[in-house]
Amino acid sequence: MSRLATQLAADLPGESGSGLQWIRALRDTGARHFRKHGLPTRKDEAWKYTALGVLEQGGLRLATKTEPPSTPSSHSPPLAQAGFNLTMLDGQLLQQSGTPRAGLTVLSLADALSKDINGLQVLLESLPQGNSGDGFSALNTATLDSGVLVHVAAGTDGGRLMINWSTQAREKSLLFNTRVCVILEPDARLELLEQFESPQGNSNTCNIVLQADLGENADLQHIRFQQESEGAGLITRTEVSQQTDSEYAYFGFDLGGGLVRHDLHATLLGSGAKSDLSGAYLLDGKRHVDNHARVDHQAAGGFSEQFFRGVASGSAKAIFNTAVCVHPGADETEARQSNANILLSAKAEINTKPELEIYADEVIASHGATVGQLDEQAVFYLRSRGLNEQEARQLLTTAFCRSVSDRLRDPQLGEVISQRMMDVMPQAE
Amino acid sequence: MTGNTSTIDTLVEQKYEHGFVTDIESDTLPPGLSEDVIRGISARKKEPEWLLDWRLKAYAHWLEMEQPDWAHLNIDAIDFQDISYFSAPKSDKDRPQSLDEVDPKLLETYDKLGVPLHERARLAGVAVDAVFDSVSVGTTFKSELKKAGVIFCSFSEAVQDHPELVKKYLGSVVPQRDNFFAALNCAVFTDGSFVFIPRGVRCPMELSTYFRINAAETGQFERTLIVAEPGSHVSYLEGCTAPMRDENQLHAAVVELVALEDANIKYSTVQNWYPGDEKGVGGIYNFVTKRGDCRGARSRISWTQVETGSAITWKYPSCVLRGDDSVGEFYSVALTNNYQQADTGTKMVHIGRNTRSKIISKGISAGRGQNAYRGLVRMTPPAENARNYTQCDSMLIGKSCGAHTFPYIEVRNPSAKVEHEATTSRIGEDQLFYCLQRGISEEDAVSMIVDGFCKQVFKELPMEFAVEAKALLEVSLEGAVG
Repeated sequence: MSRLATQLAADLPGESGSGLQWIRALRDTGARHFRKHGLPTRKDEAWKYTALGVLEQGGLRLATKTEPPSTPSSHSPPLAQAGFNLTMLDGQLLQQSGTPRAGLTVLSLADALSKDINGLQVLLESLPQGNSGDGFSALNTATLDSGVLVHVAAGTDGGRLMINWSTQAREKSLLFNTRVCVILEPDARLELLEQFESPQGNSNTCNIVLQADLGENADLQHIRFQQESEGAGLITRTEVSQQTDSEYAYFGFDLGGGLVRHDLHATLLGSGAKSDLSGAYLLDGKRHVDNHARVDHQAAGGFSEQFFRGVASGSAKAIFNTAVCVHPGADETEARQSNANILLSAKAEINTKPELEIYADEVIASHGATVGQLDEQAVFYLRSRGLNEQEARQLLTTAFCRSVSDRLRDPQLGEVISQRMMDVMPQAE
Repeated sequence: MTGNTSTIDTLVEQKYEHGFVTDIESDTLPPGLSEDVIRGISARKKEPEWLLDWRLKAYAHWLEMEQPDWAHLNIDAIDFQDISYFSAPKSDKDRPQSLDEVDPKLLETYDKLGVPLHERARLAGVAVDAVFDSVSVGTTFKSELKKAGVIFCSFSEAVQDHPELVKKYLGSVVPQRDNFFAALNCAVFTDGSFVFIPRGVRCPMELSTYFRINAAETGQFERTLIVAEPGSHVSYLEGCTAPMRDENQLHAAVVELVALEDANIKYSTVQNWYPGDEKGVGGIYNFVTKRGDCRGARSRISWTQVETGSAITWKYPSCVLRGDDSVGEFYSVALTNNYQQADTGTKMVHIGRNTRSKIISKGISAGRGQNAYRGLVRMTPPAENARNYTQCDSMLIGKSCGAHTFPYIEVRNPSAKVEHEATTSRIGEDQLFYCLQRGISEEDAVSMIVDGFCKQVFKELPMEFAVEAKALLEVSLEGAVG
């Protein structure tokens, strides 16, 4: 085990904490797994391109409940005004503002656990854990306590739910573990907008596991916008299980952060389910963003698409790995993968790996991946129209990433996000 | 008392049945792998000391290595101590004396492939000299090559006759500790081919293992080394479209290609080892390390492979594009039917400036076959203006087969351009329908469609090979439809 993993294992509480028997057992399982396997290393295929050295150098320690969050510090403006808002500080639910729509229920996870809400146990226990690369999820389970539960009743539209994540700068860097559970009953809808922004100089890391259970014909739109400070870490794992005709759409925007890793996993259990994952990552400096997606088609007639665009400059490193597995019997599945990247500097690095595993019949699957530069002819065209070189390049690079924000259903939100992308767009060196 | 003495005498005089020493002239070494076995192989081949040391070093590395398990393959455990690592070619008296003694199923396949009668005998392992005068073909062939200054001989001959060349290039592309199976090959390889094309020479004919005398039984650990000096050109054909029966289950070959400035090497393979029966019993494990080194500027290495045989195929013919403006190409058709498994693809490592690579891979899965493309394209920081284009398509025929794609793309140079595209789909229903409606049988229609799907690769093969490869696909696909 690495020094960091040993330290974090030592920071784990000795007891399984309070609560019901099954919760304590779950925490125990997580702690055992973590003590045995520790954190993933580059020897794990899924972590081949991501080393955790930067977290280790920062002397990261596990946050414990003894450090209660204080009042929130100054915040960047939220991406959208409308909707019901949650403020999460240091991984804990600090406040709620606005009125939730009828059918939408939000509880802090601690509350939900003490009330033993129906379906919560099944959901929490369903998180697959067994690979040596699952160290972060094991740690998250071992400390299971803080987070939120979001529930949308059958046949209702929960509207927009915004979660604003931030952490406070301290003398030492802390690792916060949080769980978000989302349950959408049949025919329910929700737009979940997560925004990650912390004050500068912050070197904390958040380890968030989001589990979503989508009932028949449910629809979850999930937008994750991240503009953390350069020293901050963000590790997320999103597990979505989808019943018949349900739809999950993910839009990830990584504009900041030091070490960022997203694991997205959708399991299409019912026929006709649809998974649409898209994202843009814009990197400069020494930043490192690793997007890992996996879609398991277990029922017939499913559709999945991954659409990711990336720009890397400075000595940044971007990783994109997506795997679509069409299991036996998942006939008539359609799967598409697309990843395009622009590399702007000699020290930056892009690694991409779109995988297909197909065991079924009547499948249509395709993927494309490119790494290259801006089209010089297009730059010339813009310059001939009076733009200077820098403006021309910025416009073209933004347009390249805009193809992701243009996929958002709310055009206003798409506009706000593309403006934010324009502001941070890395320059060629 | 007398009786007792005579019993003792008989016992004393009795010869030790099991023998203390291994007879150096014996044909086959007992199963097992140890330093002594390697010394035994080296001694039988009368190898120089440096080569024995080289083998022993590889063996020491191999002992420290573990068999890799990352491939998308199900491999039964291999007992490396249960394999005999040296077996001399069969003498004529052990072979079938005529075609009447050969398995009729094999002959039927030859018939379908249109293999000429005299060749059938050779392929089926019938004592060659009786039916086919290979010597005369060989002689004309050799004299022409000699005129051009080309060296084309077995690896063992090269070790004896051109030790300086072998010593200089052996292991310079695939080093001893490259991977588990390559290390094993380095330690125990028995024979293979050696080709040397001198400066500025365009090899007057396509070289083929087929014409090399004694090529049929090079054994399971084959080693090939091709060196093309500056400005030279060679096309090398490996394998044969006709099914080859072989007793050895594990084949771990190593192929090394070295292309110096402006040299051009084209390496074509048709692999049709025994794939096992319809139930997946038996069949060859084909674990091969093939790598070409474009060492000089403007050099070019092109790999073309048609893989239809073997129970398990595990190989990645690769190019290291070191020289500026060098070019690497990979064209592949891999077909798996019944219970066959294949994990194959290529690696293109771009180091030199303006290097280019192209990958065209066609995978066809039928029956319960599992077919995976695994490729790496790496643009290293010095690879200015490097370019790669990859296309890998998979076709599924049937409900229980699998087609998989694992492309790794690593780019560390901002002027590099990499494009990768892949598709997986079932054989086109509308195309099939159209053919059937025109009175073409389903089987013929499928082979027509498959042939069209593979055309891009077939056109890279030398003409005779291409014709045979097409016939081979048809035979391999038998029973896949309906």
